[in-house]
Amino acid sequence: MSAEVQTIRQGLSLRGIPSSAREPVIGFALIILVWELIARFFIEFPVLLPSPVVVWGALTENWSLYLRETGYTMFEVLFGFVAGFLLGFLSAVGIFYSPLLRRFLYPVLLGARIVPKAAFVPLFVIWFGIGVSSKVALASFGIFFLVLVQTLLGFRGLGPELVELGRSLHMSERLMFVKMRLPAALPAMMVGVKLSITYALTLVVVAEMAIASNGVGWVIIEARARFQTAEMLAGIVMVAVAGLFLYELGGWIERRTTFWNVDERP
Amino acid sequence: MTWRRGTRSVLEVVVFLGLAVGLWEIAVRMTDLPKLILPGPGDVASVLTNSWRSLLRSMLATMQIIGWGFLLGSLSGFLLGILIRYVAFFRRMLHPIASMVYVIPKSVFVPLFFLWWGAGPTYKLLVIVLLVFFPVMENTIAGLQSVGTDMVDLSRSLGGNRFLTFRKIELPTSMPFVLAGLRLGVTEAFVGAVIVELIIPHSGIGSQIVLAGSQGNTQYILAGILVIALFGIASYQVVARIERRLTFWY
Repeated sequence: MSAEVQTIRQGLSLRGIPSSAREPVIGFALIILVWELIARFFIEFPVLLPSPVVVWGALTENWSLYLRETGYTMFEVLFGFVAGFLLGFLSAVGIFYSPLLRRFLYPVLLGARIVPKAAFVPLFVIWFGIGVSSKVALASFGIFFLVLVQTLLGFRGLGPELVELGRSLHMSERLMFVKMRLPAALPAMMVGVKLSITYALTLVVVAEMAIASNGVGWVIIEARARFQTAEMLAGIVMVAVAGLFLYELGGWIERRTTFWNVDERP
Repeated sequence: MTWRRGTRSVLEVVVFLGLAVGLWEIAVRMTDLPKLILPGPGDVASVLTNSWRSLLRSMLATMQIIGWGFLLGSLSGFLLGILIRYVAFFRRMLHPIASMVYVIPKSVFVPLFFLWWGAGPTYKLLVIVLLVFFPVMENTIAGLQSVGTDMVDLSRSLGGNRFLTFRKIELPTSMPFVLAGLRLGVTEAFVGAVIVELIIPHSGIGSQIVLAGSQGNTQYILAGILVIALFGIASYQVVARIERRLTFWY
């Protein structure tokens, strides 16, 4: 009897999908099914909500366009991320070693973190135009504050007893930085990296949707202007995929760089 | 003592900002940068004095949306956080889906919501709700999970039923987390409002900035950003202060 139940259970289970992912997968399938049914039977005007099948058709029909524009977006995000990270990290080191700068600048930086960086889009357009460079600049500008604050937080995390130990061993400051301060700061820095890599996508897409001449956000806005809702939704799907990819990338970077810190990781 | 130290650090920041603004003004005057590229602080100040009325009016319109969005977003995030913590169905089905939606930049929903709900306040409100919702929900879940099982067992053994245990132990213990989530939510609410008004410039301070940008009125852009920054920092401080007051033991 129980063996029978067992086989039925196994027959029903979705093989190949890890058990933790089963329910969300079913949930997603249900959402798409309900969406399809609503779009097919209840929505009078398809422009309001095209069905998933139609959206998929729009995506595959202009596949090269979506791929190219998402490529632009990803390039802007990654380039902006690297530039912003380097700027933020180097500034953090500078501020950390200069008590004067730390004292005056730190509160200002904390305040600056609260200001929505998206408000700077028109300014960056005036400075850098509507192409790739303004979005790279905006992304690195936004990330800069996040990385800077997180890195400073990380430097602070090194306990005074370890600093004393280093001093008593006559370690040079350079050696102490490489062997103690940097590893101690890495977990907090990587939280900053993980947050900022998706944050860069947010900023780039906003800029593309506000004023731009390329990128997947621009595709969405262009489709909206022509009331092509299916094309718009296809663009949203591409952004979602990019977001998930970048989130996973951030997690991967965190795992690779702070592999020893498995338990502490949020 | 702490008060005096606080005043001194505020003074320091003010002096530092004053110096920075002075340097900026000098740099703008010394070089021949056109106003379109970088206006001086004097130009920004004259925008503030001449058109503070329109700036304030559009900022207050935006603040209204931010307030409602923050309220609805944090309330729904809090309630769903409780449901996800205690109801297995929500935990297994909804939590992963919500986490996935979180990773998608919310700005892509602006044109969709605009299409569905038109030019009213709803489309703005929904984007802000989506943004505020997530940190509050995650912090509520984390807070409720931080309650030790021994405390719950103790309450149960003393005859407390499920609801009493929740009300007297689990809810108060999770409060610091929830309030920290609200603090994050304030920032997100401002981000959401600016994003919406930037993408579909209809009303509010964000649309004013877009308009100024299209007119090459750089000093107005800077003045607008300054107003948003002031309101944002003030709102954040209010919530942070409430947080400190309510979680004095933490």
